Amino acid sequence: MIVQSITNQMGLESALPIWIILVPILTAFISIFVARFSEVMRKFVVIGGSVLDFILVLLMGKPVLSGGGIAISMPWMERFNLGFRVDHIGYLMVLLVSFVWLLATIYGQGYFKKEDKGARYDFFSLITMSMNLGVMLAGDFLTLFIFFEGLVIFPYSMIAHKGDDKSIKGANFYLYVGVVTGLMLLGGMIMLNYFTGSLDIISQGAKLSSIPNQAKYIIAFLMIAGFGGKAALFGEHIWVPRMYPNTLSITACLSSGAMIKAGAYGIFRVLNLIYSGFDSNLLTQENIGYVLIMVGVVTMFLGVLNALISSDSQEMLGYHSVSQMGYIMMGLGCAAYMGKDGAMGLSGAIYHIVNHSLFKASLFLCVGAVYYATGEQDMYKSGGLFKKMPLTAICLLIAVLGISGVPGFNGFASKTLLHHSILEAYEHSALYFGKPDIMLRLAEIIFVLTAAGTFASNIKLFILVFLGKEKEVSKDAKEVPVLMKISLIGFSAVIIFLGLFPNWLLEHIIGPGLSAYGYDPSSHAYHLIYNIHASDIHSTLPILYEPLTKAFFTSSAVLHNLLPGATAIFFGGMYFILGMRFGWFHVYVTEKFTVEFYYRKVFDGFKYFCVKPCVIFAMWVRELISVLMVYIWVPGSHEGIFIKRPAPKAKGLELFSDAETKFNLVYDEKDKQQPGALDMLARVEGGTNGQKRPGAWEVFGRADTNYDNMLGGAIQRQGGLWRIFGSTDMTYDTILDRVIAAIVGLEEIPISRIEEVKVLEKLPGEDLVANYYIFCDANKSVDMNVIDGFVNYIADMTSGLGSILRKLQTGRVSSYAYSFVLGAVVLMAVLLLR
Amino acid sequence: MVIESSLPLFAIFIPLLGSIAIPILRGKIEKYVNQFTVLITVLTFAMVLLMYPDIGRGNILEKSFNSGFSIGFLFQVDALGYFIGFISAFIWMLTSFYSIEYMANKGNLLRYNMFSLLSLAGMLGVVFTGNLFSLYLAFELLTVASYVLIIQEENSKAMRAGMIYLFMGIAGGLILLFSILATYAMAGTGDFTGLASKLSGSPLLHSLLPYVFWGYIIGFGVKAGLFPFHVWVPEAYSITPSPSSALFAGVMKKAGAYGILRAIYSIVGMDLLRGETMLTVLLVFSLISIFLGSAIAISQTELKKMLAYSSIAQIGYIVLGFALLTPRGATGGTLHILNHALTKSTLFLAAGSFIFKKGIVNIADLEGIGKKMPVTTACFTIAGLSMIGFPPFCGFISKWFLALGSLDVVNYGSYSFYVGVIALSTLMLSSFMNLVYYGPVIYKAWFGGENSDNPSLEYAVTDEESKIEDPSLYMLIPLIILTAGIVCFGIFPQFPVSFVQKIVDGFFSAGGCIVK
Repeated sequence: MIVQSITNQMGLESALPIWIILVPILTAFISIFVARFSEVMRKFVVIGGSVLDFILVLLMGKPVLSGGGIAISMPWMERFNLGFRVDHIGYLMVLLVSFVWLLATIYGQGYFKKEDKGARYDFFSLITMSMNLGVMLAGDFLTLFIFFEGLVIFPYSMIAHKGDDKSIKGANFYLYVGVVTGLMLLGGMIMLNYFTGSLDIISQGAKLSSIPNQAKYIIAFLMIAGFGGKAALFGEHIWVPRMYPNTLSITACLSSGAMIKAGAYGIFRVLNLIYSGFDSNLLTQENIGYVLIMVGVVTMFLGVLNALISSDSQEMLGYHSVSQMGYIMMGLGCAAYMGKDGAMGLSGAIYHIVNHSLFKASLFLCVGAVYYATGEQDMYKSGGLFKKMPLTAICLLIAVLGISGVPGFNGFASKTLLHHSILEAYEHSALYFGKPDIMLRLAEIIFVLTAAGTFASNIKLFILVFLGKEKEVSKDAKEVPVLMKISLIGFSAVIIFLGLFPNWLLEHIIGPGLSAYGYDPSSHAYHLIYNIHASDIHSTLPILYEPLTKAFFTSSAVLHNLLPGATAIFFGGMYFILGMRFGWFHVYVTEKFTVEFYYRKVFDGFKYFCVKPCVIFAMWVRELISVLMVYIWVPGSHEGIFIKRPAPKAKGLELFSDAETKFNLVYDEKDKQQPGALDMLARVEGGTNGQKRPGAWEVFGRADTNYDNMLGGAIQRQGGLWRIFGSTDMTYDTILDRVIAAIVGLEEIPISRIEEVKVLEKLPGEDLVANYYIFCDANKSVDMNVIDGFVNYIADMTSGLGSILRKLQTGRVSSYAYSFVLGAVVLMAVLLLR
Repeated sequence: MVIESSLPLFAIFIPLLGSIAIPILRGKIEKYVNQFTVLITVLTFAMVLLMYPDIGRGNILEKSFNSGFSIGFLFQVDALGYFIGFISAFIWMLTSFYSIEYMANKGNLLRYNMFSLLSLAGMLGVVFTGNLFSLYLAFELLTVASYVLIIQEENSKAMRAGMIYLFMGIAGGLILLFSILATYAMAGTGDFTGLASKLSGSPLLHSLLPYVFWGYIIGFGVKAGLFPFHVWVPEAYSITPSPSSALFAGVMKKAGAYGILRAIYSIVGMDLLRGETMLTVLLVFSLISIFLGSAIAISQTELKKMLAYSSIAQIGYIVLGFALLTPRGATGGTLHILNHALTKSTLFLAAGSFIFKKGIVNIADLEGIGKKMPVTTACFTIAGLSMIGFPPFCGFISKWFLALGSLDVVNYGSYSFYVGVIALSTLMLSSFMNLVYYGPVIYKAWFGGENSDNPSLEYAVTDEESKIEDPSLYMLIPLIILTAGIVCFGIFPQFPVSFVQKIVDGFFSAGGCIVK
């Protein structure tokens, strides 16, 4: 209804973003509904919904690419609106996500058999798709954040779809990282809003220039780190090795192909806030860019190192995602670092977002197809599948060539752009800061090394799985169902198309998109396609090739473009051959070299802090308040006002222990005969031996209560002596457990947490609570000597009144009723007669 | 504009008379006493609903019995009182509907229903009164009547919890009485309208103000369960029957929060408090409440106890919003009254369904319950996500306003910027801690038990054996309505936000607040 009114107000084209977000959600609910009747119909609905959404995205192309983009805003709360804004880059992302999701959904319909709970998977998958599209379509950070958080919760079920412990653990890691980074993002947004008064995604360079410097960096850090969790930046990538090997390949494909890009897109937008006020935030922007370059380089290098030593194919590809995200971060960093001259870095980064989605999605789906056919994910255990599954093999090979940056496949163009942008950054530093920055030169070398590692490990995947001798697992392998084939072919076709026409995207979408940011035209990569060369360009710029026109062979800059790629492939090949020979792929690092280890320590420490000191502190407060507000008031009687029968007096069993923890069992003869009939379970004495005093600590219960539950409190310390009360049927160990639990003050903590039950001379936690006992003892002596007389006097009066009151009570509701009626009548009378 | 109307009187006296009618008619309605309670609560809710047209126009409804004495009864409903009264009556109606099945065949039914209605009367009395004297009477009625709900099971744990509650409640009530008497002495009146300005002219003010303020905070804080007066909360919440747990956490707690809001904004007034140490201490208490409640909830093994500690943390959110003294903070705090009422009631009712159908008390036993009771678990999940603060659920909205408000403190001169940053980071940390204790419950419920090694889990069954065992519609409908509320107010927050903003703007424009 609301959507319809918006459509009427704004016209169909402007409402397209809302429809693009709503269609998958509606499809999801319809599919759940239809699943009750027919599985085939459900699959039809799911595919239909994805196709429809893709068509809507295509329809949006015209107004966005030829017009001025789409911007709508709906009132939401206070002055925060839900806004959608689509420009060229946003549109490219939306197109990419909906395309990847469409093909993955088609693949999924072939993949899931009836018993695999495909209905649940598709439901969450479609909703996640909607969230992902929402991130790309959002017009302000609040809207973006809402969808971004949706991208944290809804994939949970997709990741944990297998349902075993490992996949749940992977999903938990994803969730925890998502929530922590989401909170950082939220904090950054709130600060941004505080300082600039706006959350719009368009540039706020002018406003940002007037705020304090620290605030600028804190905002940038919080927001980039917030998006970095999803983008698997180094340090925030800990969910990757947990999630990728243990989840379905479709989830892995969607995560690498689409969801991870939401993080990269977010970082792009954050930098974008600062970009266009080039002059106002020059230094901030350069510093942020420099840090981001370094983070990107570290991410890509460590990612690829981990990938080289992985044997699980999905884990390896997951680490490659980390590494490729490092490329993208480096490109974004270069763009920020170089200011006006950074168009090459930015176009390279955005181009690489697209390319990485395509080949990584294809790789994951091919690996998934292998798993579908053989049930084996470990690449060393499979082999010789080429003859059995030729189509999958060819598709995988195409994707491997794509990720390796071989000319003719899509990765080449973007990797070349990125490589040249880091070189430009190096020259930029020489030009503007006097001397060249050696770190940036090092970054370029690492870039090439990473590319070599990428080629080595991916070609290893292809050779081990498809070539060589046929292994046991591949005996019964068959080619995958037709729906899965369609999806694989689709990806391969696009990879080859972009490989053959590398300028197409630059010309039509990325170039026009970037021209809005006011870059120096000489730095635009896409200008070079048209041979617009300024004579004073200080760096060699790439000439992208056009294979069909043979410009490839005629240009003088060919060598410059081909050299890094060729080097990488040469070294990669060498590494592969030598590595297989000498076993370099089987190096394993210990746990202490992982970031996760240290995060876990921090988290465990935090949890310990929550569980131990906080609980003890709460116990202190509890006793203090109890003493102040309750125990002074209640000398002795705990029977309650409304309890029906008075509690008969009975004694419990007493267990004494001295410092050597010898336990003597002392019990009343009467109680031995009827241990179950105790009503007052136990009374702990305060003060000196034998002197009974009302108002001290006390535990009580009725015959039908579980003694174990109450015993936690039934403990008193007197000098070196512990006095505990328990029932006859309790064992020594049980009692000791309770003692420990009670002393540490953690009666809420399960006993299983205390691992060793020992006879201890000093009980755990005794030091911690020693002060508390001193406090208690002091309190007790004051209590006994000073307050007791007074309190006892009041107590006698109170209990006398209480007994009168109790006599009035017949234990039946009517007695209360009559008293209330009486009260009401008096009240009414007062009101009316006054 | 003040309108003379008897509706507030009806809203209070219908449940009061209903509770008196139960024992009188006990022979006739013994079998249908739960249904009778539902009828009364529906009538009460209808009365509250009938007030809306006037309240919506910005009027104040009033019924005064103030003739002759300086203190007297004044029933008055303004937008703030209506906001909380509406929530109370609505949730009371739903929980009594839930009780039809939950409490069937339980003992002491007459007593339970009678005192439940009496508590409702007390609760509505607290929010629908216009002066301190009537507020105090209703507040004490609420304290005493709700005691009976705690000791419903009459076992030793319940008696102990009840005892602590009762004595803390009475102690708090006496301290509150001191403050109220002092206020009368200083201002000469107890009517809320214009009280702050009268109070600020008093010569006694400087010597008495801290005591009066702390009297209000302790008196209302005990009921609200704010640190350090939260001592009674965990045991009491976990031992009462689940519907009344939902009422305690969702509604009755809010009587205390309402009192604190009144104390800060319309009794003592912002101008006297701004920049004072006592307000800073209150802010620190609320921050400790947030942190400590969440921290202890992590170590709990019993579901209802965990929820109880969680509500200590949530009352910290509410009081934090009030203590920030910024419009957005106050908006966030007041909105959180609604959001917490919805979410915590849902959680307690869902926990009650687990107890009712499966006898599950501990979190560890919840493994795989999602397959057995999908609807209940889905409601629990949505409410839990809302607690963590995920959009688009309503918990996010109040968290957003609280976070905005905590940085605004500089602009309104309440605290320095760093206090705002500390408040903001505590909010963020607490969100994460909410995940740490709600997360395991949720994923255990949905994904646990499939490959469990524990053969003793009776629900770790294969698909053939499993069948859906959600409770009947009596228990599901309230859950679903509350969950729908969580989702609706998360996606379309315009209505509650604008309503609450009107209230808060009233306070801030009346207080003559200076914006730097």
